[in-house]
Amino acid sequence: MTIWEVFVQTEGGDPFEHVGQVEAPNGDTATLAAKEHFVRRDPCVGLWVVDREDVRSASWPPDVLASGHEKVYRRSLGRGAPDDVLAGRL
Amino acid sequence: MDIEELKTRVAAGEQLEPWMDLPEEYISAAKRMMEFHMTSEVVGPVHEFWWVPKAPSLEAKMIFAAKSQDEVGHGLGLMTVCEDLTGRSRASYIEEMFDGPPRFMNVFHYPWDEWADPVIVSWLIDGAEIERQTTLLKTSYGPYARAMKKIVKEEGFHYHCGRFLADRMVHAGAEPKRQMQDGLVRWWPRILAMFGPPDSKSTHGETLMSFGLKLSENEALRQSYLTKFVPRILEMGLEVPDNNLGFDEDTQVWSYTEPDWEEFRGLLRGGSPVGADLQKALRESRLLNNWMVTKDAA
Repeated sequence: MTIWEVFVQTEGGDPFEHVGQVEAPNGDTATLAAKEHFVRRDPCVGLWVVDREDVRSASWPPDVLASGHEKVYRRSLGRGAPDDVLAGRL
Repeated sequence: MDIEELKTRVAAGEQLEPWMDLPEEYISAAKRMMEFHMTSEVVGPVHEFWWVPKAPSLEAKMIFAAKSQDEVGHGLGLMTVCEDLTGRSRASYIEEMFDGPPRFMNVFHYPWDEWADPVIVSWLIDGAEIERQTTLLKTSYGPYARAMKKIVKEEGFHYHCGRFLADRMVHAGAEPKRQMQDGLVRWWPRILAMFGPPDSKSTHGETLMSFGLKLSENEALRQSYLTKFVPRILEMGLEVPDNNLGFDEDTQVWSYTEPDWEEFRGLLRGGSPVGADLQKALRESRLLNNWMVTKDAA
């Protein structure tokens, strides 16, 4: 049996949201189980199942993941920003 | 992280994830709490499933078929969370549920012999569960909190279905109304007990609170339940069967007849004939459906 991560899109244009896992022997069964389990009353326009083994997870710490201090120029504070604000940014 | 660091971090509102370096005490407390919850969600719907063929209308049958599916789904959702935390296999959890000592909520240890029983449980006990489970949306263990989103939402449907069916009963004539009132007499002390003893008398409560796993004390939940549900029961045209029930305007505290905590602990520790029947029904259901499991695996 394989563990499948389940993603649901509630309305067209919404992002797919991770809602949980199901265990199933193959993708088709997983899709059916995910529908029965996670889409019981609410609207739904899209459903993905992804083999958990295929998910790659970044192992960097949050400050690296978030592209922090070394790229502050990406958040320009604009002309005339007070010096103490500029200093605080670094 | 050590236990003190963990307490500081959860007190600051941080949620913890299974891939973090979690202290053993935290893992074992989370495991204990979630496994109890999971087992309750799986054994409970056996009662409802028994009522599907006996329910008095097609609509009521469909409601209970859907509700019991929801509840098994809650058990499944919590089981995946437990599996990820403990590394145990689903098969081993299921085996334990079939044969192990019964560790599930007090309310499932009583017989549901009359139609009023499942109706009162949906209305007043799912209602009580919403009280507790809503607080768990902020529990410190992230996967548990996320699983609760689906659960809390569906318990809301169950409460409304229960209220609908209760309304049908009390307006169906004197006899069905009397059955509901008699049912309430049976269930009232069990409902008050299901929140558990006040935390000063509960063994694990304090630890769970300090780990941020449990967010509200048993007594606080019971008080807030009484504030919401006493008026709802009266509105339904029923009487609350408790001579000691009263609300003190000065202290804003409800008084009520203390549930029998010995009976409560006895059920949680030693089980009951009804609890044994639930386990037996699950075992038999597994035997009956095993062909599908093996076919799928092939």
